[in-house]
Amino acid sequence: MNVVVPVKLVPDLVEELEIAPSGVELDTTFGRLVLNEFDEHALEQALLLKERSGATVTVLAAGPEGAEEVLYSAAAKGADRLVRIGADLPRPANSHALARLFGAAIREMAPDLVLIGVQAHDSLDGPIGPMLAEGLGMPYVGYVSGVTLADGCCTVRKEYPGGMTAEVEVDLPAVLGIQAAEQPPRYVAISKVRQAMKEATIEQRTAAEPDASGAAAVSRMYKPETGQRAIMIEGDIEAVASGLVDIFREQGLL
Amino acid sequence: MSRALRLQRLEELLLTSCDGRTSQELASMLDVHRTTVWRDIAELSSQVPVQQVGDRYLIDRRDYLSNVRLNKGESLMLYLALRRMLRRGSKLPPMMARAMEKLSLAIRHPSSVQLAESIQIAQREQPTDVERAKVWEVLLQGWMEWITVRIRYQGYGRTVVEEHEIEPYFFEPALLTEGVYLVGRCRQGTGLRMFEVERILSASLTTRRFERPEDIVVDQMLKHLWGILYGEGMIEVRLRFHDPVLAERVRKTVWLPTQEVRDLADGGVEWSAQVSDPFELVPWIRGWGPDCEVLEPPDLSQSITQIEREYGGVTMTTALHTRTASFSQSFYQSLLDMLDGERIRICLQCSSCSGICPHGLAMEYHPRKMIAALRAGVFDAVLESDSIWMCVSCYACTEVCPAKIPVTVGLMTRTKEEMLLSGNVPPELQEALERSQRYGNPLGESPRKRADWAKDFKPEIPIMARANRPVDVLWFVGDYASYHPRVQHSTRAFARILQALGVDFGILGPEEQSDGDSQRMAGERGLFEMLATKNGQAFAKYRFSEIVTTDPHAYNALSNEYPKLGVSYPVRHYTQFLAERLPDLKPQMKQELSATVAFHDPCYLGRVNGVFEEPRQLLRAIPGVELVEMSHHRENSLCCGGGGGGMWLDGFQWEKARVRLSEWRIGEAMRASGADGASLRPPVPAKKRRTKAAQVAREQERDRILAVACPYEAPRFEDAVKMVPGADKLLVKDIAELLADCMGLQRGEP
Repeated sequence: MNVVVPVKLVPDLVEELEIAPSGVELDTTFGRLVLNEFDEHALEQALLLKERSGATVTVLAAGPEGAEEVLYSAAAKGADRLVRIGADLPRPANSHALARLFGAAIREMAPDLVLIGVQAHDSLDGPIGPMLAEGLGMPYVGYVSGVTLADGCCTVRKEYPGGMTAEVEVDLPAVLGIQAAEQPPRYVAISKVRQAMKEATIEQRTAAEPDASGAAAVSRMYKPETGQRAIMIEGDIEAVASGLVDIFREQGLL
Repeated sequence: MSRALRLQRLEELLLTSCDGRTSQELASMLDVHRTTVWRDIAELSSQVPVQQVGDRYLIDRRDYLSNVRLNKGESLMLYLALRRMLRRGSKLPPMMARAMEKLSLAIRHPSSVQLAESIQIAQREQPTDVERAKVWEVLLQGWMEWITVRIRYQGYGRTVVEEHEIEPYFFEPALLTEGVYLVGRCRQGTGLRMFEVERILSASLTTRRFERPEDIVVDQMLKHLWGILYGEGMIEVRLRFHDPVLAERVRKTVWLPTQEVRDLADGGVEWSAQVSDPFELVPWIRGWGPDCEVLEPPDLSQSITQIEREYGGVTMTTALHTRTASFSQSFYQSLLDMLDGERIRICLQCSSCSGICPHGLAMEYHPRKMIAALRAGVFDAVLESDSIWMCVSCYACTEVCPAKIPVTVGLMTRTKEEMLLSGNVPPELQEALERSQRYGNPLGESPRKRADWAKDFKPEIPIMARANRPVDVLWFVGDYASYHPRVQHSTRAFARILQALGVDFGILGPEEQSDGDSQRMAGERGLFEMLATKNGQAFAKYRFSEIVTTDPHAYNALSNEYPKLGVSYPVRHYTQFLAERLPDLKPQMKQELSATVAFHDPCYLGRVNGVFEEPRQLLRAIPGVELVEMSHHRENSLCCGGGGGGMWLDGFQWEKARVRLSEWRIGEAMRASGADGASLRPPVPAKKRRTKAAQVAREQERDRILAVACPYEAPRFEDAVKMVPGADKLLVKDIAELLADCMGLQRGEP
């Protein structure tokens, strides 16, 4: 069983987000990047499959600095093969471009299963998973929170809105968009990451700048703007309360 | 002897005789005339069921409600016995816990309240086993009312379930294990037998009564009873101990009345005893580990070898980490290789560590039991349990250990390291560790905002990268002091004090990383080294004469651990730094505080690093402050629960212990400071009452304060104040805040 997990880094929301001077994307010059949370779950699910049924787990990362740290950490957790595609990503690096970049690399790997985070908070042009599946000619199931392997196919738990869950049988090879792994992503001790840095190797690949076409163009990116409609009721508690009551009456709520 | 005392003594004499006593005997025992005895018996009969059988008087125990009254010495002895039961750390059966709780009520000392609390906690931990309770109930009824009992019994290591109808004679605790035996006669005619109560699968009462036999002499019957069968041939067990230290202990201890100890030429000893079933000795022998060799009988020796082989052959796998057969041994070896690690060999299994451990009662494997598992070569079981995450690295066990074993830094921390390596870590802690790694602080705040507390501070707080000049003091602020809104208040107070003293200081701001000490004690050594290296690089960029820190954990790391990584600077805790400057501080302390203050010794300032006096000097210097001590103070201080990762295991630890250490501590602070309203001054004589009234009123208006000197504590204790009933009068303040208050520096602070 050959499992590939393509991962991407996203801006860390702990830091204040800034809009780049271009006005159509985030300023990532000083920002901090972290592994997309859903990709972390995809990796955990892949490692669980490996432990349960035996599998080779390949983690594939593209792009910026910091990707290596993520790859070494994945190796320390139990990933077998690390691949980094050092490409000049178009700006903005949209999901269309990443899907094409990942697709080209994954096709060569001839995987049985591709696990990818179902979404990322900076995917403005939609999640990568379905586009990747389309490019690879494989079936896609998203919002998956559990995977059981069988011969030539797998059964997945797919979540629907409103607390509904379905079991879906999918022929392999397939692309699964992981919503949550069957258990929370594991902890890996720093000493193990350091060991992985010494022992594991990252296959470096280069690729031409991928095609980013097909995505809706961003015309303007901006922070939520303060509306002008708020009325501040001034005064002491009595004044504020009676002001509120007046407004409720006016609106027909009382 | 007064009449009341004599009546009590009479009651005791009647209770302590099987066949009753004559009035003549009683008269001579009480040293009174027989007529007095008769009068006393008449008096006593109105309160307790005294019976007369022929010329003998006795009290029927079955109708007697015991009523224990103890004097001081007896109270102490009972207290010690109950503590011993608790400290064995075993699971208390509910019945036992209830009995202990009632007995503790008889103790004439305030400390018995804590004892009762400890017992209640131990009891809460135990799920009620309905089946077990039923078995006990039946056995007790049979025993009390002389009714035979039908039981189903599965002997140790046996698959067959035996059925018996027995006459229950008496109960006896096992000598070396925590079991209880029931001794009785089997009606099927096989004579007297001993049954371990835990192994009685079910029991039911019959309708048959039996006569109490004349010949029950408990001590004689027990003399040879180690195990199950009574009355069969005795078997000699011989054991050899080579280690001279162990040998000394074996010489001094009597485990069995029949034991003999012979010295060997090599300094070791040979121990022998006649027992009825040597296999009952197995757990005890295995507790000695490789230091005890079984010479006789051969099948016992084989059995031990077999068990070792079976356990040794087990390969335990967690998600990531395969532990090989020799894991237990290699782990033991890694402990022995540490500084003073060899001392673990001389562990006496005295259980002082487990007794003093504030969470010992909630741990399946407490320190003593961990060492026993290690010696028995079954340490894997400890790693299967998650009880190590109850350890708050408070060093109480290390402090109390008579063998000076490095329990905290060795056994506990190394175990956490193993747990962490196998990815076995509670989610709360995992999050804190991941955040420390990613952001350099366990709170998960942006490193860029580390100096945000100093924004708009006038005069400005110099940040080293911007100040671009050497300073006298580099202030290592620390995580919670930088980010936590409550602790920022103390941080600003200390900043104002430094400015008021005219100290030339600077902070690292965004370049400062977590000191990493608590992460280290939580088992994440690699993370500690990473953080220490980053801090070391930041220190190296600037020039300063010393580091002062407001965080005892940072103080411990910087003074004891960083030098091992080549990062070595003079470092002081802020209380040390300020105590030295008391002559400069005192003239500025102009406002009287009128407060009774109890000081909580932070574990990593006091017990670990021996700084006890400086914080107290500062508090005593504050005008109007009366410094009082809580029941646990200085070396014996009680942890706030935040150390060793406890800060990030609050939910986990609460679920297990159902109490927070900080809440215990608040109770102590209330009692010591008078915030509970009970311990105000003693009653004033009537004459002076009027003049004293004003004084008492003033007394009641005093602030009651718990003073702290560690950034973990103010938030922990303030949360606890909200939880402990009646604690709302207690204020929690950092020493820096109290100093800033009396120096009038808290303008504009809430």
